[in-house]
Amino acid sequence: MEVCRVEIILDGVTYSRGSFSLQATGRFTRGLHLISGPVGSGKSTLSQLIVGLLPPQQGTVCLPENARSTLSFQFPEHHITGWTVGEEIESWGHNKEAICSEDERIPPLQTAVSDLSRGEMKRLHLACLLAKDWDVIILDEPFASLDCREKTRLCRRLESLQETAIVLIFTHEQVHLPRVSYLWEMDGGILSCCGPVPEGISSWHNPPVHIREALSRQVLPKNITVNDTLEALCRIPD
Amino acid sequence: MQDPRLRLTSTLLLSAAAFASLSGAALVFAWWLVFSKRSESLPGIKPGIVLVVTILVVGLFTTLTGGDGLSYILRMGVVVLIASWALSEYRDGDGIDTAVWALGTKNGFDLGLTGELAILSMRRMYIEYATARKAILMKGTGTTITFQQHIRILSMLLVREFYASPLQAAVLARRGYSGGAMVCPGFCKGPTDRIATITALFVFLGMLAIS
Repeated sequence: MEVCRVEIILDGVTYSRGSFSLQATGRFTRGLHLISGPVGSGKSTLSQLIVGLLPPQQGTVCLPENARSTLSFQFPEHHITGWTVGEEIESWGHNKEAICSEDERIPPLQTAVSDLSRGEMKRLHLACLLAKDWDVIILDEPFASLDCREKTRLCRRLESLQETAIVLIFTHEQVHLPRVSYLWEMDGGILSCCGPVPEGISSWHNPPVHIREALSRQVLPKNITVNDTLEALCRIPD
Repeated sequence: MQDPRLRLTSTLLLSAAAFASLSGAALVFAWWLVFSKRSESLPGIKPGIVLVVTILVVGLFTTLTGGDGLSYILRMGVVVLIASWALSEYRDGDGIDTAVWALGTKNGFDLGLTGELAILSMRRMYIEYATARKAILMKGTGTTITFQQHIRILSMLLVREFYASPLQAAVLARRGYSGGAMVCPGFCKGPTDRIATITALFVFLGMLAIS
């Protein structure tokens, strides 16, 4: 897999719809970027603005044309075009046997996609999406509908992309999080950068409970996972 | 037009008048110019193109088979204008209010509820279709959506609606619905509602007199 040499630049991007308005400025380099924020804070809108599915009303989104970019929508059914699991895998241009051999939890190839639960559909969708080579991967609520085991597996898979792509994870997930490079927050439609990890953790305004607990004890974890936090809290001071 | 009863009456009268003859269509078009919000009541660009192309194709076919294709195109064009106006004025609850007012709390409620659910379903499918078209492009297999993919998206949406309908019925049943319910429909009238409906009646009668 070739190394990505692109960055995403948002320069004074604004977007309004009804009473909602969004403002975003920032630079996303290679690595994992976590963009957290409550429901309705504008995460999905920003993800579509970055990938070019929505035009900004002001400002520019710079995403080099030769970058292979994708966006995973929150609801996997929006991506589905195959009647069966096998057809759906092929619709991504994949070899269905190859995908199944990589992930043993994918349902039998003849299974009708409409018979899958949303969680199964999400797992199938993410397996197909992450099996391709991308320079820019934008994931809108990738942990939604997944069980704990799948969330953990997804975290490890995303961490393996640290060196090869710009990965933007838009989520309100509070527990199962991957080790990331940068932290961002969306609040009331405004994007703000907390900074690189670990320094940026202390600037996180609405961190998950485990991070908040660590910060309240003046402890800064190495990263944002529960394990990192536990390790930091249990660390014996020098 | 705020009162859905008057709107429904006007729509029926005007549609019949427009489709019956060219002179009727001309009168209805004049009514549309006076009483509609004009550009605001037109369909969107893409649905508009689909409607225009469909009417043109049928009109052309009518001409080729010896009929008056031009007349068909003009009359149907005005019928579509009126339908689009009626749709643009529609507000949630209009269907159930009108049906209960006309047919009572048993059959009227059932009919109105069916209509409201159908409109809700169509709106949902329209939004889902727009989102799915974007999502398909994110597969990285092409920069445009093929005709087959459009058909697939629409088929998937229909299948999902079919799957959802028993659940919707179960929720209604769980809430105690078994047919008919109490609704007290309320209607408010805009300043031009009555005059627009009376004019629509005259347009219809005028069409009858001319023909």
